[in-house]
Amino acid sequence: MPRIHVSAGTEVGVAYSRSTPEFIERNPGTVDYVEIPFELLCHDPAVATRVGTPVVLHCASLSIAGSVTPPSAVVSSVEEWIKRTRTPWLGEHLSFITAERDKPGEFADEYAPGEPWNIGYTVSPPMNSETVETVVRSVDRAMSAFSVPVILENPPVYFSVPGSTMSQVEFISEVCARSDARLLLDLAHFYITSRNLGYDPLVELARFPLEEVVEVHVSGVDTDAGGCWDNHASRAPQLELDMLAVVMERAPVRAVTLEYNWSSRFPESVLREEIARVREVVDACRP
Amino acid sequence: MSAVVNSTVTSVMARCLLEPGYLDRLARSPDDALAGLMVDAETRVAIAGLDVERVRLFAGFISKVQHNDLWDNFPGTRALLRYYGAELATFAEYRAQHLELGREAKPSRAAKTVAFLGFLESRLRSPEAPEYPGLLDVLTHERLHWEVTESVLECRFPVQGRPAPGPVRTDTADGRVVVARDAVRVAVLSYDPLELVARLRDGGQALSGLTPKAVCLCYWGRHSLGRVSVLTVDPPTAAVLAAVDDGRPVHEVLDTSQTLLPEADRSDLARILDAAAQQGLVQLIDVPTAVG
Repeated sequence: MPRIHVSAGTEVGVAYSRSTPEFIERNPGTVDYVEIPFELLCHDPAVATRVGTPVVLHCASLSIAGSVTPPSAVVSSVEEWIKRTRTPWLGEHLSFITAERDKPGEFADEYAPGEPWNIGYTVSPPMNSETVETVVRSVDRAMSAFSVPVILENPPVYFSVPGSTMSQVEFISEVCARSDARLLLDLAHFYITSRNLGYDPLVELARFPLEEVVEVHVSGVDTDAGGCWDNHASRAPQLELDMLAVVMERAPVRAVTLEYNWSSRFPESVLREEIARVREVVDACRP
Repeated sequence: MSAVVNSTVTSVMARCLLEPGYLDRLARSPDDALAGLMVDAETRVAIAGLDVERVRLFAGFISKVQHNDLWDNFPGTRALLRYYGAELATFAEYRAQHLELGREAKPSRAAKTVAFLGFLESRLRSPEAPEYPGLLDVLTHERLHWEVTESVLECRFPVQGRPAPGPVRTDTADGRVVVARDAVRVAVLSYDPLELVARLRDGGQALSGLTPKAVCLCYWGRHSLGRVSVLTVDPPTAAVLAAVDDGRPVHEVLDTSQTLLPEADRSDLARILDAAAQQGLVQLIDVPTAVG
């Protein structure tokens, strides 16, 4: 079973966008690593070498919390990229991206008969004990298939999913209790979920299994149409930085990734300021 | 709930996100939409309780994220959509078209851009559209700028011929052909998009007192310089430049511009065309007549 080695330092990185290579070239030493999606590497393998820094691999293809297992070719390809990038772990969403549509009499699709639905975006699952079982099985499979550990990222919740019987914190705590998975805490997602479901994010955070958190994501949030939404093109609210300080005090965080990758026009000066904000919190919490 | 039911819930959610028609049906008549499901009554009730409006917005959000690269060329349009709180609602409406576009094969970035801009423009021109002052103008401005930039980058200047300089004649039918150098487009707008975009950069606070301000803009792309200039022009110049269609002879350009601006004097329009040729915006050429 692959394990994560705990070291003293917490590194700070950025999620890859088209402007990342130039940013790194113009600001040497500003970031310790770049997080790159597996799906991007499949499309443009040269990205892995273009950044010139260590790489942390992220993934959205395993549908960990769904009932459709990923094709073996996808699993093999992920493992190939794990080896090529030498990533210390694989971050994956605690979500589903595919779903069944082969029940008798249901959902016939003239374009793709028999194939699973592929949403093309990760979706928070029904949070109940059956999904916990599904996730435990998926994590076991992933841990056997991959040469590095898998860490699970909390998804943003935009609406109550039918069949949910647990809060997200309860659901994630149960997954941790029942499996070897450790966690990637996305603070923007956590903030969004809390706001959309009417919780206080700081109160919820105190109940979160922080001792399992290995990596943290920081990015912006948006409000539109009466809800709170993910936004990787705006600054993180101060509350996220306050939450980061709480997490750093209690969690063995190895890496903090700034996800400002939805706009290649995200101003470089703002990115530098955001990195400095995060480093300030990280440094203040160092022993 | 059993794992079988979980898989049904995720299937229904996936279908709602990928088939806007099904989501509409679920909203209108949940019993009919869920009739084929082989699940217990409790699960059926739970699924029927899905907040379809939030799901519709989430589907729009997915489309919005999948158009992130669009905004590199249309920052003002996006800023104004956000200012009016209409970004998510717009993409939720666009969802069905977006999905249809990607059914056969992954569309190119340009195809995605054209499809979305076409949708947004027709939405804004629709009589039922909400009032978003200046949005259509900013969209038109950024679209023309983008189209001219693409023309310059791709060097799409099809008309070839021998330069035939000299004053434009109005007494006889001047048969020389007027061609743009290298790409010229014109917009007649109700709000000044440049001013609007500048105000948005300041946070949009000043937009509350927005009033119409008619303006004519010319987008002039030159391949040799590799850039697009935006010129403010008067209505007669806009009429003349709008009539240039890379193949129209001089007399047709004058006829068309007079149709666009009936109060204009033909000799004034001829002088404007002369000035445009002097400035290098257009060129007069002789095109050999095709022999059939």
